[in-house]
Amino acid sequence: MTPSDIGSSFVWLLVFVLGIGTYGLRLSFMHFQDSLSEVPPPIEHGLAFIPAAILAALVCAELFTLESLVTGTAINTQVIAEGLAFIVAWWTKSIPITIGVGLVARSVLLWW
Amino acid sequence: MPTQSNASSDEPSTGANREVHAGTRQAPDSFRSDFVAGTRAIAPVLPAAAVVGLVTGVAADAVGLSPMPAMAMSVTVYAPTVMLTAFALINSATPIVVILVASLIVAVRFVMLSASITSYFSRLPRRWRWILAYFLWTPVYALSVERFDTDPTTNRRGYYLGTALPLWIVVQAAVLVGLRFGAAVPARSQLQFVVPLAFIALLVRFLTDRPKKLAAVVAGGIALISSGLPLNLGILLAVLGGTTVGIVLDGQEVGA
Repeated sequence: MTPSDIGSSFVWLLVFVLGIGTYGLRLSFMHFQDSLSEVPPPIEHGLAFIPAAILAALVCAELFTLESLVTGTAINTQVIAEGLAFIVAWWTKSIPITIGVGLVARSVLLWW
Repeated sequence: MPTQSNASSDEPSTGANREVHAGTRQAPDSFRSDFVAGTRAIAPVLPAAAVVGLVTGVAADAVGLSPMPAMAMSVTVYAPTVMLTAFALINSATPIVVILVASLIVAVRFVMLSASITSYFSRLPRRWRWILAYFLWTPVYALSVERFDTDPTTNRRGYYLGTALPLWIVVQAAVLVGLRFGAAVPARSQLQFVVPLAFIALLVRFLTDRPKKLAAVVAGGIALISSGLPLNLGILLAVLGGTTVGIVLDGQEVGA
């Protein structure tokens, strides 16, 4: 792929549309939360599950995509490393330790 | 997890739970201290974010984008997943409409974040919500929501921006570096695994009771199964499924 393969107006169109589109999606609900100064308790309750669900979904979706891209033993390596990281995260509740352990575990397992 | 107490507790305590989500008006002092608290909270996530930015910059360069439009995209879109999707499709010479649709569907997660976080900012004037919306990212969302739930007196604008601004700066700088140094960035494939690790670290903080844990398990399971679905629709399904299970279980346990 060389720069000349991609027309600059094409790229700028992408920049413009994607920029507006992404921002619009982010703004979506935040824009309309207007006269509602209170969220009805049932909805409020339900919303509380979204963080857990969305993070779990993102982790697992990523796990699988990486799996399909990588061959053979590395599949198990990634799962093991992330499983380990999960246990460490559960135990320490610390972000840097979790990331550190996960990376080290993966490197060790790959090297092995 | 450190509990930050605000420097100024001048405002009267309303005490009522109904104020929790709406948020009370904060004294200016609290903005600064909560901003700092936010920054401290996001600090461990910044290296992962730097990696993401780096990968994006390198990918932009690899695809053949020149620095100007690439940086413009990074600033306007501010979502590496969206950009990487677009780049992957540019590579296979896809029609522009498909690229746009695919990339924006990947951004659907932002709608969910937006829906989930908006109730915390309901008292804020609209123009502020427009500003805050731009910075919405999963770690910003996760850390902010966690803080708002555990400490309702937090200056939400302050804390949110405290997490969001350093992240933005780091990501943009990293994209710039990735663009500039391109293929010279070492061990790229190794580094991108930092992202799921950061998400795992954030995830465990929300698994506070049984319904939440099950919601996570169900969501994760659905995401795994439906990862074959195009355009990350699996994630949307996973969140819907997990949230539903959580609500149902919660209702059962409470007995209401």
